[in-house]
Amino acid sequence: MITAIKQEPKEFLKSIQALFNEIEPWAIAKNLLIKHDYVTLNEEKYGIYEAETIQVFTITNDKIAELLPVGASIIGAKGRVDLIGTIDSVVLVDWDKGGPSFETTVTNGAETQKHIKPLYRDVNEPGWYWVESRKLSRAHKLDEQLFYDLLLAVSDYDCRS
Amino acid sequence: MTAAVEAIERVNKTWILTQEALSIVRREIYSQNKQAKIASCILTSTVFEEHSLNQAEIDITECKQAAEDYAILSMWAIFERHLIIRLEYECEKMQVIPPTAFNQRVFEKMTSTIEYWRIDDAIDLIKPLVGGDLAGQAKSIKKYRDWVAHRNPRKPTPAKIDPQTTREILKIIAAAIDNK
Repeated sequence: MITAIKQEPKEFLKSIQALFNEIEPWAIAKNLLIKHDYVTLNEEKYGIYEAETIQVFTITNDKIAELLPVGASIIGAKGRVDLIGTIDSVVLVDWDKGGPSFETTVTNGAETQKHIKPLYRDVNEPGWYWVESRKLSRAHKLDEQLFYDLLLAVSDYDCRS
Repeated sequence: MTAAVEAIERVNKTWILTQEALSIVRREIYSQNKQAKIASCILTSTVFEEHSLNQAEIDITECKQAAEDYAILSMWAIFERHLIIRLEYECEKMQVIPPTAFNQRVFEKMTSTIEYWRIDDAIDLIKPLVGGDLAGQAKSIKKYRDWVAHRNPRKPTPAKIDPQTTREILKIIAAAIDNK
């Protein structure tokens, strides 16, 4: 089914651009090459739109990973980009400060109690996060060191030293 | 931990182990391919033994996606059953003691039809227990679950969710409606 363009998720596209602008120098600093491409997404809320992807290559031109936007319409986040390597993949999510939290309002007669429950600890600033453990649900803000760690995890490519 | 939360945790554990196992296979095939195709003991007598790297990548990517889909479908099925049981219990509390014939018939009619209520209507009923925010998230998960179940690549995707977030949200709701 072809869906007409509704309205591009400008914030998401801007946020991806900011993410890639951060990652590119990190990769280049480790003699990795970056190639830019586009992926077409089709979301109910935004229709069909194109988002930038980046592919990471070694100096010998072996592809080791790709950063692939998954969508702007994500439950509990403002956007998602997957880092897909030769071995595995990890999910990066764009969160506001505090991360996803849910307000529970319990009404008992005239009494109403409100509780705000954050899903993850230590989401102290807005940005792109990786949830460390699928079991323990710990979130870490993406930085240069974490990017190298994740590259190792998804592609066995160690550029940490 | 309630029975529903335990069941959701079991599904989550199965999903995690499946993902990890598939990553191990992918790593093994990848390293076998890099080491001049030296046969891998780990892959002996498995379907992966003769797989090319390309074919393995395609199969494992599809498998990982399927495992993610099944995890979300299973977690939702557990939650939906839990919600129905909770609504049936709430209906039971409406029985007068001793029940009149009329009260008994109304009760029987309600409990026998709860399963056929629109799920969005059922979720609306738990709003006083969990609030509008979580009820809305539950509806969004259901919408994505329906899209996953019928996965039509030509149709635009509703708001997406991964098994991990599905688990967190449904666990909070399941526990909240269980304790009240």
